[in-house]
Amino acid sequence: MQTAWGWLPAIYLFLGGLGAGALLIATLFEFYGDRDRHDFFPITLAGATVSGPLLILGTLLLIFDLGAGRREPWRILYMFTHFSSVMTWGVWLLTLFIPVALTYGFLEILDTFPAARQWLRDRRWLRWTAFLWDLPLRRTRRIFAGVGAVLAVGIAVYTGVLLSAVGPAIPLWSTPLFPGIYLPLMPLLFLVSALSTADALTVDILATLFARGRFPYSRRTHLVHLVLITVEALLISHLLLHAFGEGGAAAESARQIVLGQHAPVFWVFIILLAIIFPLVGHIYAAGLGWHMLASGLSSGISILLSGLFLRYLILVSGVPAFL
Amino acid sequence: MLPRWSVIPLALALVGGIIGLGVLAEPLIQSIAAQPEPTPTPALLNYRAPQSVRCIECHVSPAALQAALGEGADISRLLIRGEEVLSIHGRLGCVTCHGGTGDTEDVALAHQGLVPNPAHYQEAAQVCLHCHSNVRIDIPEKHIHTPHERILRGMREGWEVCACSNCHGPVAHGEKPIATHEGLAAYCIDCHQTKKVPSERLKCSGCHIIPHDISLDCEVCHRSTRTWSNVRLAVHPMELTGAHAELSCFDCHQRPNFMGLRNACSACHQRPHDFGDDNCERCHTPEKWRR
Repeated sequence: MQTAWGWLPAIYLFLGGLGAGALLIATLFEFYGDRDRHDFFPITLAGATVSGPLLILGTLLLIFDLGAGRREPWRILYMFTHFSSVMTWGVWLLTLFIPVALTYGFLEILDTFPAARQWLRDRRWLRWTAFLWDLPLRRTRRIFAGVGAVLAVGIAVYTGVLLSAVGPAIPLWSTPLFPGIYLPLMPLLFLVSALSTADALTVDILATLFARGRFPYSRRTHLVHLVLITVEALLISHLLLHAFGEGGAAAESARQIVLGQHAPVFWVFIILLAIIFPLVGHIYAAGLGWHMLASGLSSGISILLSGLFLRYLILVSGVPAFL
Repeated sequence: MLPRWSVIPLALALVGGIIGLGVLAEPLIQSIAAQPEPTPTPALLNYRAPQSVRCIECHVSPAALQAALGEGADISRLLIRGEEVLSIHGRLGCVTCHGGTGDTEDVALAHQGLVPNPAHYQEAAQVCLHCHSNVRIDIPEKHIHTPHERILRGMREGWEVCACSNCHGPVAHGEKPIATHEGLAAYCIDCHQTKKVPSERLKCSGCHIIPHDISLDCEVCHRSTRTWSNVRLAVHPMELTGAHAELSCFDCHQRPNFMGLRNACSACHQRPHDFGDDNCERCHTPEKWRR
């Protein structure tokens, strides 16, 4: 079956989730992780600084993917005022989130690298910004982190809302979280996946590489990540079982995922790399209190890959209801 | 030990690497799965409307046709009206159905490989059936059944009579024979009579699905195709005289059926008084109820 969805939307949904999740992870450590007692904290530095650029890249890919966005980009402006459209909510979320995330990242860089701060202060052409240096840096950073976290939850959830808004046209995407109540599962699945992939990037990989896995609350962090992986596995199971039970196009989607042409991607990149492999790695890390280099890198890379493939798989297996 | 500043580029590079790895790995992993056979795409109609401008320029102009064919030649069969070109099928362009060579002023070249009747059974599969492959056998919402199945079989088996245009006419040239009963008479019935098709095909039920629950020929009751509801009560079980003669069928019968109504006054009338029984005719007549 031909599908209109492929790699490009999967990549920008992945970037959107990862960028939002990275800021959320950074914010959690900002408030609870004793960030201020350390000069260098790779989790918050990575989370805060990559969030904005990832969202910018994702947004550019989204605009490129929209035919009108490529030919007549000014037409994107129309999307700001159509408030009953899910697209408008997304446009506003991105418009507000990106500057907040960039500012938070900038403040994190200034706090981590005093030399950068000094370099900026010494620039004559930046004298007009002198009043900024009198601001309490850490408090200002926390304000941006807090506002950014609220918007980040919106962005991470939105990537799922976007798909579930397609509604009955593609039954797999509008699978309800609870039977009989129209509360779609996709937004929660994408939020959990966003947090899990961001945790993989910032904690599993970068904190292992730059802090040898030793950071405040590391055992608790790995336990939380274990819970995220388990919840993701349960949500995927619910999605597929509900689809099989519903029959029709939803069941055809589930069949393609589990037994059909997408089965290798599902069993290798979702079941093995997103669930079994990271579960083992994180049980080990939670027991030990930190990741060994091999387990941190392998768990992190496998979760990142599986986050990308989860979105790809959901997009390509969306069978329309008329089939 | 990695320098601190490398956290940021390393994070971004990791994300880029993961995306690249994913895009590259997916086809390799997918290749081990059994892929479904692609649905065969039907051959497309050879759409040539833009190349048909020269044909139209000549065929709408009596002077141009006369010049091409020579003085005194009969051009009436070749002349087309401007509005024909604007019909649904006309807009497909001449070359699309009739073939030939578009975009040329060379008359001989333009008519090379021309298909005079694209609806002929040998051509229809390449022209009409591209778009009309899913022709219906019954159109129940209009109470019509059609012999498409037999016609398509006839085309496959090479019966010369089975041309789309035999019933549908030259669709791109403004004629719609099956749109009217007069057209049907001229195109279908005359031909059926000539070819000695069994007589039941010439009756209304040859095309119409009878909506009623009685198996009478339509023309037993219906007198005209123009005023279809103007019926004559040829076989009514009770004589309809007096006030009954002014009623329409479905004042008493439940549309579209006729059976199931008892042949008794009480089937329609309610007795307004206590005396007597349901046999109204003992006292009343259809001509004058108060008699």
